[in-house]
Amino acid sequence: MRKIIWSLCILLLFNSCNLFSSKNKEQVSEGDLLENQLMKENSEKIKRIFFILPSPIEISLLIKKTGVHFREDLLNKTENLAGYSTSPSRAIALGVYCADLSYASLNEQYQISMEYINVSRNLAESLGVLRTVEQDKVRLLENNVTNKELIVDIISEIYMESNEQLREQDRYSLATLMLIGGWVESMYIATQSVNPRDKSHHELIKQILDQKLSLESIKAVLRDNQSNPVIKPIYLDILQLEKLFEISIKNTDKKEDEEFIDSVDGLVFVQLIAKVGDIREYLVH
Amino acid sequence: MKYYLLSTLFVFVVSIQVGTSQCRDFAKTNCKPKLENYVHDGNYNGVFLNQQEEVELHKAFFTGQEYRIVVGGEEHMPKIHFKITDSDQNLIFDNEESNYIDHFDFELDEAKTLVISLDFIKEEPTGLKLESGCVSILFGMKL
Repeated sequence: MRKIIWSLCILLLFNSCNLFSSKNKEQVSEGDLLENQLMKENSEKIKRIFFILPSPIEISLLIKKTGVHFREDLLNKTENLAGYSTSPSRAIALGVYCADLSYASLNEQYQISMEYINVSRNLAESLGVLRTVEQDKVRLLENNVTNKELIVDIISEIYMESNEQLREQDRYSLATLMLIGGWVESMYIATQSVNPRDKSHHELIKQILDQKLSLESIKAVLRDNQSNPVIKPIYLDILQLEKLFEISIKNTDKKEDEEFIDSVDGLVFVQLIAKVGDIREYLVH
Repeated sequence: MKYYLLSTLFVFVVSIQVGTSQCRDFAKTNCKPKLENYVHDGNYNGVFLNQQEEVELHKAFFTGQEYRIVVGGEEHMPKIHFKITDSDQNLIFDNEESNYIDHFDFELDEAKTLVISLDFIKEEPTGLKLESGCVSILFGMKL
């Protein structure tokens, strides 16, 4: 019995030596890997990539420059404000009202702009966003309500402070919802303003279809928050919208004298307008 | 011990928060004025950048619009090198060729996604300068 125990002990000792030596080999190879990685990081800089969405100010400016007329009925009514009782609905509404505010102010609708500035600031405060606009700027605006540059500056401050403060509070999904709310509302205003049969609207059609380029950033922003139950259906809707963007331009060889508008598939474009309308409906109600 | 750990964590979180809001204030007070007669689009793109890092921003730009991109870093840091390429890697602008100017004005013939990449310049002696700090990139448009 004693012999058996001794032989087992010797076997275990050999085995542990083997284990140790193989572990040592692993440590060496792991060390080599780490060294290689460090060398690689020293030669190549660490790259941080960000995707930026066009802001409501930018899209509103593009719409304005196409020459279409302002339509108050397209704005999300301020009476809807009372219905936004949850943080996600308030974050979406903040983006939506920022877009409406940008559209109204760039079209010199000063009375509406003042009303929507107050609504946006109150919404931001209800989300825990503090000091969106410096008090001296508010005072300046009260004395000069027709100063378009000042109003646009105030909108950019509300948009920037709200988005950044939500991020700083680690409320990334709310910051995302705000950005998406702003983009969808701007697209809603653009698509509802367009008459595909009106030749003077061709530039607006082009601007709307160029927004296909923004989808890369929108998908990147939504993808990061896909587990959120409010964001998931929006992400799926955006994927459907992306398909409509892709097929709205006919896949045929372009003739020399052909204008951009000739390559647009009118039926698909109408579906695209409807899809934007559906997404907006989901967001504001 | 528990309270000591909690207070250390609290100080750490607060210092990060203060750091990020300081970067935002830096963007508003130092970079925004450089937009001059271009209006700020409302996007804030600020990062705390290290020497070993490179930042890349992807953004679509559209026709019929004059844009200005302003890139600013804190004074105590090395100069910032930024370049703009399109999605096919064609170079549109490199501030190295313009004495590391902090802005670029442009208008496009067709809508494009542009990639703005930036890092600190390599030639700068780092002995007296800090190797990290706030960097912000702002976009402006003509009304």
